[in-house]
Amino acid sequence: MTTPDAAPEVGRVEALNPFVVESPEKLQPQDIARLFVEAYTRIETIKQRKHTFIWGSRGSGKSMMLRYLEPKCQAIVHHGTAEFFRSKPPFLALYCPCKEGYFNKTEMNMLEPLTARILTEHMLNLYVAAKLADCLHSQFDSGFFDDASKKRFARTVLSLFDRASIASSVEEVNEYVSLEENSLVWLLKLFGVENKKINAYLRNNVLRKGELSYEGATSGYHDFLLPLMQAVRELPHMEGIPVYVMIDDANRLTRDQQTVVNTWISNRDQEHVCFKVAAEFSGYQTFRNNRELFSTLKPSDLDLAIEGGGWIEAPHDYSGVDVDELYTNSQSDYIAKVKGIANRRLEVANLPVKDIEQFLPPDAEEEARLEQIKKDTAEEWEQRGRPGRQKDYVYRYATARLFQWLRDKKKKSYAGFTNMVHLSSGVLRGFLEPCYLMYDEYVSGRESRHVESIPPDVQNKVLFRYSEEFILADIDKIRKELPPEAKSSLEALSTLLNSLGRLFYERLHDPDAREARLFSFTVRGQIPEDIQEVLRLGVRYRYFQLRTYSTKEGGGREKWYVLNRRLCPVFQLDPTGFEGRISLTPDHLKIACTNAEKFVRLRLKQSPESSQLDLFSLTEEE
Amino acid sequence: MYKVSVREGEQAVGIDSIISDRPDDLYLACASYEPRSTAVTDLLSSSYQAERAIVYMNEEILGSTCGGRVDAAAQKIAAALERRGGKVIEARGSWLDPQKQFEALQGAIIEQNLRGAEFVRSVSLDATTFNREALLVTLVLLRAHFKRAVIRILYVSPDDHGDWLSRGFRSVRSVIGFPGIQDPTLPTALIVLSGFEYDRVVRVANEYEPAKVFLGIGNPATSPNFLERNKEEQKLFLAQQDIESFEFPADSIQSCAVRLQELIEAHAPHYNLVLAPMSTKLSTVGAYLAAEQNPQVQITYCVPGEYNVDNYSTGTKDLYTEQISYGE
Repeated sequence: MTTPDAAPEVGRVEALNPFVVESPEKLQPQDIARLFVEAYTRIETIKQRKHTFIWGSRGSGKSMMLRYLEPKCQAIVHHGTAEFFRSKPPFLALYCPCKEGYFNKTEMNMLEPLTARILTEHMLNLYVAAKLADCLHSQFDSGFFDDASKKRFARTVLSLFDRASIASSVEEVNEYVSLEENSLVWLLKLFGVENKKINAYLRNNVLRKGELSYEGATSGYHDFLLPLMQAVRELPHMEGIPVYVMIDDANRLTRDQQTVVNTWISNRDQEHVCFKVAAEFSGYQTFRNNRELFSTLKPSDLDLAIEGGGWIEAPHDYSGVDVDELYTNSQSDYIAKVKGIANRRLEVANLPVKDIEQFLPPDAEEEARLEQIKKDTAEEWEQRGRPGRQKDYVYRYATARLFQWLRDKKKKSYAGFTNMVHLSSGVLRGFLEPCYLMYDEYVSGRESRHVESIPPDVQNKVLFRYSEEFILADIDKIRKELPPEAKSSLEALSTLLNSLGRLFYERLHDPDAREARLFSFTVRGQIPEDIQEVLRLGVRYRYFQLRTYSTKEGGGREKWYVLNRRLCPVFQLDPTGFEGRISLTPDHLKIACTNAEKFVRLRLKQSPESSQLDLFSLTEEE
Repeated sequence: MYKVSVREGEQAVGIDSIISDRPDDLYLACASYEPRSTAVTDLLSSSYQAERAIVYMNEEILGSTCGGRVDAAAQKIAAALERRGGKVIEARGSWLDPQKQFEALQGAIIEQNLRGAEFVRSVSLDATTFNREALLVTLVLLRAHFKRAVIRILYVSPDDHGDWLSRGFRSVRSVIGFPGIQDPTLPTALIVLSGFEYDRVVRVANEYEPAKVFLGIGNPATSPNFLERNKEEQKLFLAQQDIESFEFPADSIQSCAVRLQELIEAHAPHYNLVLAPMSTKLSTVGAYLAAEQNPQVQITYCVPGEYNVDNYSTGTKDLYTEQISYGE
């Protein structure tokens, strides 16, 4: 419900705001094929015949990427279904979103453990099987698979169930559909009837205080899911083609259900079936390491629990793709990715300008001033005896000097494509949303929606508002959401953000600061539990991005909290790709959570410039 | 549906048993922090009798600052029923733990069903201050255990509500007994019976990410002021796309159920339906009846962070009485 516009119908995308953030589930294959840009998505890794976990925040583009792999989209991309299946690597991708209320039903928690395990796997199997039947039925032209093959397929699938257990369901389905005439729909109905039985059992069992036995059919991996996927290969054009089961929003599955999925993966049957599991990292509950430990590891390093007490490990059992990592690992790649997507949207919207950099121009006067400051800083480098490389010196000081020059004159402008990409902090939606708002603001009241660019003042207005919302309105929204026991942590978080914002502002605007562009912090020492909770809340609501760094002393990695760059306009900070960090003691952090003024005063007094700053780690040491 | 102002009710003879000259087999009420928690019990006639009674409470509320008020209400209800010859037991459930909530109610209903289900013909259920999830679960249990009973719903509306009713969000969950049946090939549609809790509606919608929302406005409401406030609270939500509004009678169980049945019939072929009753208790019972007839519909409950225990409602306005029968 975050979308500010209507679901585009087929061919209507061009009539809407080009930056509309729409749920991929509502988009038609034509729109997905037109809007999706492969570059820098790591889609090639996902296309490989390997089990894959795709970690990423909400709005990072995971669902769009998975839907793009569905047969109808790939047929558009490859100019024909048969052509796609002749391409390398061919696969049959089933999009299986885990919607709220599908699997995590309250009655499931009241089952006896063994029954719960059997039923949960059966439910998941039926869901995947229904998605497969639906995919074969609706994602292909009616003649793509001949009727005889479809009938054979349906009979094979039927034979995977215990004959006696499935008999009553078969009888029920036969009343409505004929296997002979409409095999795939017949299968869909069969899975539907079985699903109905499970839900009736769930309800009746709790009403009978757990005394009922489940008498319907059940299915496991080796006796149902794997042979089902193998049966697909018997269909025309499908020989040797693996099925990719793309489980989206797997964070919505219960812990037991996630364990079932992990166990499927442990079987290493990639020849026939690969699982592509997309989830928010924080919502996946089956990591071997506890939360405190795993937050210092990369997602790709993590082991996941399977049934019976074992583990699956990356890269041995699966590949890990962290969608959020792109900005951290390569800002230039992330900028290129956003540019590709934004340009595609301009093109689809049929706007006169197809280059997002032209569409979102920066403030020309400020750009000119920055160029001049860069020249001056380069000269200063000469005068100071050429410390280090000139490029590094200019990079380090020029932008800060611009902020210092602007202080007391005018507000810093954040207009311009590059600034906006940085402000998005690595999440695509964080770029598209303000674009949507500024486009909407600019075209409202104008006769034509075909504009050539958004003027910097309009961009700025929206960006400030968007930033202010994050620190004010969004905190209010969270306050309403949180249970009373968590409210003190939220107040502390709000104060902490103000403390850091004000400290970083002072440092950035101090002409004598050797390291002015601070934007993150680390904590040296044991953090008390109440402050840990504040930091967790900050990460959960994306005010901080949690990263790790190697300690200089060796011996592991430490947590590193980077502010969300969306906060830059409201605090007048520099968003452009620099993450100088301060090191805080738990005591300082506590003050920062309670009294912003005292914290800033204390830190500014305590941070003599000069020798204590490390040029290479960009860290201010205590 | 029978409606009478509480003041008139006090002046009249009072509430009598469902079948004249025969005590009700069971009386259920929920003791709560609201002043109207004991209003129905206060309106029982002097000749009213119930064989057995269950007083339900949420342990978190009991343990909170308003626990004393809840305890006093429970004692008052229990004393009133004991005076009328009933054997009263307390059921302590939880609004945070759905399993505990269910088992507390289930245990109490089974324990009170000593004579056997087939003899239970008349149950009076004071729905006034049950939280909606507990009310739905109670109805499911009554349906399961007393198939032949007439259930009389008693409800007292307040004079007014506080500035806010609940705040915060903990989770959404399907209500036990209403898992629904989801067709993987269909998108999800959310049917909301809305009240004054805008934030809770938004949260449910965010969690389910439905393709379509049918937002119900209670009209008639139990008070004309409530209708205006309901419309005002939901204005922002209605301004969003993919949301269609409809009206439902918030003051009548059967009429609400009929309205929901129409909606379900129209949309069940195209969507997996999730029903979120967030309006009056009468409409919540209406939602129960509609979902009971349509097992494919899931009922969802949004667990708030906290309730406005000090000022949830004030006064007592009207007494509503309506019977539902399972007809077996």
